[in-house]
Amino acid sequence: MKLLFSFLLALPLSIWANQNLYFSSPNLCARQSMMPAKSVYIFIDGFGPGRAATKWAREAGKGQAELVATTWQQLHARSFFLSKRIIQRMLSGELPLFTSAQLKACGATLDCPEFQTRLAMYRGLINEISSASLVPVQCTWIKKALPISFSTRIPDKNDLENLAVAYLDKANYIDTCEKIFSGETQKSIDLVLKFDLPELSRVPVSFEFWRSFKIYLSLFWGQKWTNLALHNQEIVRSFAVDEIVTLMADGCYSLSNPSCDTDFLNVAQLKNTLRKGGFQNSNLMANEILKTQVAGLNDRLTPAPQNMSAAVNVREDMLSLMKMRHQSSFELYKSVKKLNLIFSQKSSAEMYGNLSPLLKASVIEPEIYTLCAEIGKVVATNLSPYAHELAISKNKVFGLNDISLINQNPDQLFRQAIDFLEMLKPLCQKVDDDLKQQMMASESKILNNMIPARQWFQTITRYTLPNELSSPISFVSDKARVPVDTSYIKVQNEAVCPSVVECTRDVMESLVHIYQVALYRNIAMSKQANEITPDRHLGGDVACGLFDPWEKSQLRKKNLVSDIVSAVISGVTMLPVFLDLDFDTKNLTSFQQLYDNGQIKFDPQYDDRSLQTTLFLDLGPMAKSPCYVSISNSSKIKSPDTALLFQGVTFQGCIQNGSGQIVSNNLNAQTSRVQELSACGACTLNFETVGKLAVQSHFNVFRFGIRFVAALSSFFRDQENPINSPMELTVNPEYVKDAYLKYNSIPDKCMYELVNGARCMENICLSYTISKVEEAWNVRVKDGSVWNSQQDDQFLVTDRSYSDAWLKLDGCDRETRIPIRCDRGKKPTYVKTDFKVPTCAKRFQ
Amino acid sequence: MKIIAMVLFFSLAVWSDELRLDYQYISSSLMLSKKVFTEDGEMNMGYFVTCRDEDGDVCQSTCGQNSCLIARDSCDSCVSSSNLNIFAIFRDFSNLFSLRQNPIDWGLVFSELKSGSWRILDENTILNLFEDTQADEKYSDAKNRFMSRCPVMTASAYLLVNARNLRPYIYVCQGPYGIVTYDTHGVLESIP
Repeated sequence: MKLLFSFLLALPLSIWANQNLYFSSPNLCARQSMMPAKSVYIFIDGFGPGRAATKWAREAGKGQAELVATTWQQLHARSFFLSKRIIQRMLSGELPLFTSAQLKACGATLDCPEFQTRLAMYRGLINEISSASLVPVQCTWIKKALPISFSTRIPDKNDLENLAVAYLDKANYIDTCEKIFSGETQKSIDLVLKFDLPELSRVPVSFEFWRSFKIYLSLFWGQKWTNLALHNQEIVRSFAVDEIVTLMADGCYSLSNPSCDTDFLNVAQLKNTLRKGGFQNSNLMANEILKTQVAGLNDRLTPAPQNMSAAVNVREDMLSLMKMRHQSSFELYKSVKKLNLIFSQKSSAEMYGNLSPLLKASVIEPEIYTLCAEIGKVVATNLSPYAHELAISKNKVFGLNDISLINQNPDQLFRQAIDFLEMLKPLCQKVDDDLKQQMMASESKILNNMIPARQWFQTITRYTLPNELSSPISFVSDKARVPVDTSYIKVQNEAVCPSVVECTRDVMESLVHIYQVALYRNIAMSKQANEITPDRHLGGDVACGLFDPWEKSQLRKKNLVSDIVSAVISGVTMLPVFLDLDFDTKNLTSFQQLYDNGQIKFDPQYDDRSLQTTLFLDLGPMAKSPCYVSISNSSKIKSPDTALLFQGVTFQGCIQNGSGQIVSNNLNAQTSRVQELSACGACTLNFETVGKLAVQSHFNVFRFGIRFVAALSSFFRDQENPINSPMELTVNPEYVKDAYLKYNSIPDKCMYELVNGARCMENICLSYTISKVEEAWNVRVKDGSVWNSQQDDQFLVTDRSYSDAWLKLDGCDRETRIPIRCDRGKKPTYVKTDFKVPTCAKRFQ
Repeated sequence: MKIIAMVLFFSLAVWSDELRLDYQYISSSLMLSKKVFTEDGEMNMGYFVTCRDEDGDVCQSTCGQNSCLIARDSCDSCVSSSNLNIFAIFRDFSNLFSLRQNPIDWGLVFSELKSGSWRILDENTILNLFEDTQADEKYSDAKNRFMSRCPVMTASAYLLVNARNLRPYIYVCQGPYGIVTYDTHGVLESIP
């Protein structure tokens, strides 16, 4: 049985505080993820303020390094002081939580009466020096984290050895936050703080607590304070705090109530992509997404070991996030501007009128074929999963309306563009028919004259932004550049687009880009924008039902997976492919083999030969990748709607209906060949192999398809993986250090005891007894032995149980007898500690 | 002497790409500048107005003296996630905004700045926001683009914008010729 455990991030602090480290099994982690965190990391990114300070220094002729250091020190001090004071005042009940009504009334702005009244009322509380009512909140400055902090592997001996070394050198790992005030952090562009809230407080910690905390921090951030610990430099005060401060819950807990939404569905792959620091390379990004997504739930729990410190990781995340925000903002701006320029000068009806003759012509121009192919991809729901996705979204983009953007509403423009393309759909149907006829003709040369589709057409479902920042801004592509005077639409003295066809294609391109950006912004600028979710965090999985620690019923899981399907199904090359399988056990084969065996069937209404060709063109090197057949016999298939697409490979769950037809709800494709019915099935590729192949071949992936593949992968694996019981392992760093010092390494024989919170001793009964006694009495045991006094006081080398432990407590000369019940090689079932602690024993501080 | 110098100066062809400098719109009564100042022991940066001694009504009414701080330089206008108008200013100022020379009531402008309704930006404030994130864009090119709509010999340019959404109101060019202001008008807004 291979168990996977998730590490909590409490490691550095635990070293400091002499506390145990806890390892949660995925099941326990999942349960914890639905609970509010009582420990939180705060990351402060000094990049923006540092840049502003550099600018000031340059303009003012001052020393850049000096001003930047001052700015960072003030940034750190303000972050620490305000965060801690707000948390304390909230825990004591002096700073009330914001109510839902207040939050609703204020919407996305801080400049609303409800918030401003609070600010005025409670400003004094922050300023007060009196600490009479302050709740103790521990703050730790995290200087460096151990690699295993970010790992989710079960700790091995190397991890424990690293832990021991770190424990012996803890000053290099953590320090007190108060050091900020003495300027020790002023040369750090990033700062990582950890706040530990008390277990009990007048106001319990909740998701609402953290939401209110963030609002208070934003409200108080820009204020001028007279407190000597704070400074009031304009750069720091005027910065939007949510752009530079990021929160992360410690361990598996959450700051926001986990929900199954776009944020969750994207955040994991986003994070991993950001980590690579190659955001501007769209290919790299797509590949990274692929690697992340195909990993599925379990693989997400076992990422590659990282050797960077917490600060380095976060720094890269933050920098990449900043770039991403900038790129997506710019892309949104450009697309909205383009739509606005077009629609402000030509109405949809006018453009339709100009296009109609071209689409109805007896001889169709090549550019019209391409235009219609592009239109089909956006609005033809029967052909294009992207169109299907838009339809599911009710042709709306969300989350863009709070953006100030040349007085335009992106959602309205988006809708206008869709409506315009819908008008063209019937006309394009005729063009498609014409194309089909021409392609059937043997002398057809149409393919030789095709105008290539624009880039978005190929990459529409890549999880990436169009990467166009490196090209100079231009209203007109070079290819389409024509004199301004003859342009279909122009502004001032510049051509916007040269012809009605190009303008229509521009409309589509802008529409697609707005949609892509909206997806990004949903992640990067949502309510969780200033929250980072650890890789092992399972809140979203639980909320989405991909990982359900409480309920294991097949029905519930099926339903949840179906929900995911309806929410995110997508793809591009939707080929009507069926897999005709007769396996009723799991089998490993390849797509190529399935094809050679005649087990890949195509919908008869399509041309078999061209589809075969297309399929293999699409599959490329993946055709030979292993296929893991996870659903086979049609009689076992209960859910008809588990269809998904992956660059041309259709994974199809089928069902036999009453009239003996195989039905695919997604494609509405049917076959009446009864003899094939018994073996309708589905094939899932072996995702790891596919992932590697895809990376090697720069195979671009479809975002939703991949996401869904990951979901299904998790779903099936979940059934096989025996991780479904809540478990928690404990490591006491003091014991790890002792073992390390004693043996100069961590021996294998110690591993079991050490990861179970026990000291490494020769005898497991003894080591657990010592741990119990130390914990119960708060003393330190130097040595000991176990005996069985019930069998003539003989040392039971060969016997199987012990009744006494004789322990030498630190401070005592004589050994103390502890009654126990323990079978050799196992944990004690009983350790008697409820009697008076020997007075000679030294207590831990 | 001063008048002669002015006449000589404007007898030179003073052109911008689009805008002919019309001396009737030129003001030489005040000057804008950006400089460092200290407040509560903190170094800060701000925009100042300075009036000529013989014509200092605006400054007297605004500052009670001949020169004063009219706005702080801050990061309120830094690139943020929600305000994309900075892109319009940065990349498409000449495309999206038409300019019309127009004298302005400086007293009103300063009162808007002081109240926080308006914000003033200079080319440094705008352009530096994009450094590091747009490595392909050369600083000098971007600066030239921003200032290209000013007359030749312009030394500095300012933009008075809505403090909340950064929508440009007034474009200000300043050089040896004095100070000239332009109303900005959104091109798209004029299209029915």
